[in-house]
Amino acid sequence: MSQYQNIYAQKIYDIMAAYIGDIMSKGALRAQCKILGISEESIEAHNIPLLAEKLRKGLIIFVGSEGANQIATQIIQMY
Amino acid sequence: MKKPKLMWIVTGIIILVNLLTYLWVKGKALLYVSDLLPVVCAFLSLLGVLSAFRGFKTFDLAKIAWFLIFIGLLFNFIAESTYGFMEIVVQTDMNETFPTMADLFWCAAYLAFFSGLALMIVGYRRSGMPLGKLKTNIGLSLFFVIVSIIVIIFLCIPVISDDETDAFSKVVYLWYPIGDVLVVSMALMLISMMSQFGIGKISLPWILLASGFLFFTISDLLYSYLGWQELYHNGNLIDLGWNVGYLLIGLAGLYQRQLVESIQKKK
Repeated sequence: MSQYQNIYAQKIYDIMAAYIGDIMSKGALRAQCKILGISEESIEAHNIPLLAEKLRKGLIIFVGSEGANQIATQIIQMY
Repeated sequence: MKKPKLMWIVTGIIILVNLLTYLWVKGKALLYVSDLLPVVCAFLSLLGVLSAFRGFKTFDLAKIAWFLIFIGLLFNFIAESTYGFMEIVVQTDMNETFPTMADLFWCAAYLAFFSGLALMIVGYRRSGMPLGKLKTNIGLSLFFVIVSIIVIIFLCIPVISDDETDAFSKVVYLWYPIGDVLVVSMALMLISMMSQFGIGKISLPWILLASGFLFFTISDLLYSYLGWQELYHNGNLIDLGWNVGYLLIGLAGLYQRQLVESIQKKK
């Protein structure tokens, strides 16, 4: 169970972990933040739509388009 | 009872039956078991992977990748059935007949397996996820190089330099080890990538899938070597590798379906 200081990182992690588990959620969040040139602890509200889209694309191969859309939609809803 | 749990129980029973039969049964009964058990295992794996394929609603990269694995298994199932039919019903001496119709289906299956696994790797690379730990990648690369060298020295060179074998048979003989090396390289990449995430519900299907192909490859390479040396006979324990491989791939399909369904249920 991860604890982030950044409230957005924690919320994204919580949403994802419920679907795909702890380790993959941390890995996916870290990887996509890195691509955006930010760290998990520096996520800001305006990063969320792009981050959600990156996470959606990244998850398709594991859970299919519907699953990935479902997770990304929940992340965007907190924006 | 959940399907993966049931499949684990069936897997355990099949492995036990396989081992006990091979150790104690002789003659015709051994022939039937060694020919029919792969057909049963291939059928179970087909059902598992079909379940995964049907779980995806959209024809995206994930669905196409699982579809290709399904097609490969379908070819393998046809090949196993053809082999069994030829040996049990037609009573063809399979040690003297090569290549057979079954070999053509097995060879075709490699193309589907390789494409399916390659698509998964492409999808993973597109996902932006980390590509794996350097140490693991170096270790796997070394393993791949060693396996390739062994395959070239002990399988490819003897086949190529044999004057008594016709060109078509040589192509089929070579297809197996080369196909194995290519498929196992894809499987090793999957394991390398997934090893970063431990064994979780999202990585389990891929780990089982890749492990299934590893079992296939080990048995295939041993079979190719023993077959070439004319040392392979019915009831050889290397058959166990194919059967375990099929069952692991089937389990991978069931876990993939379970994962997709668990997400859909949370809607």
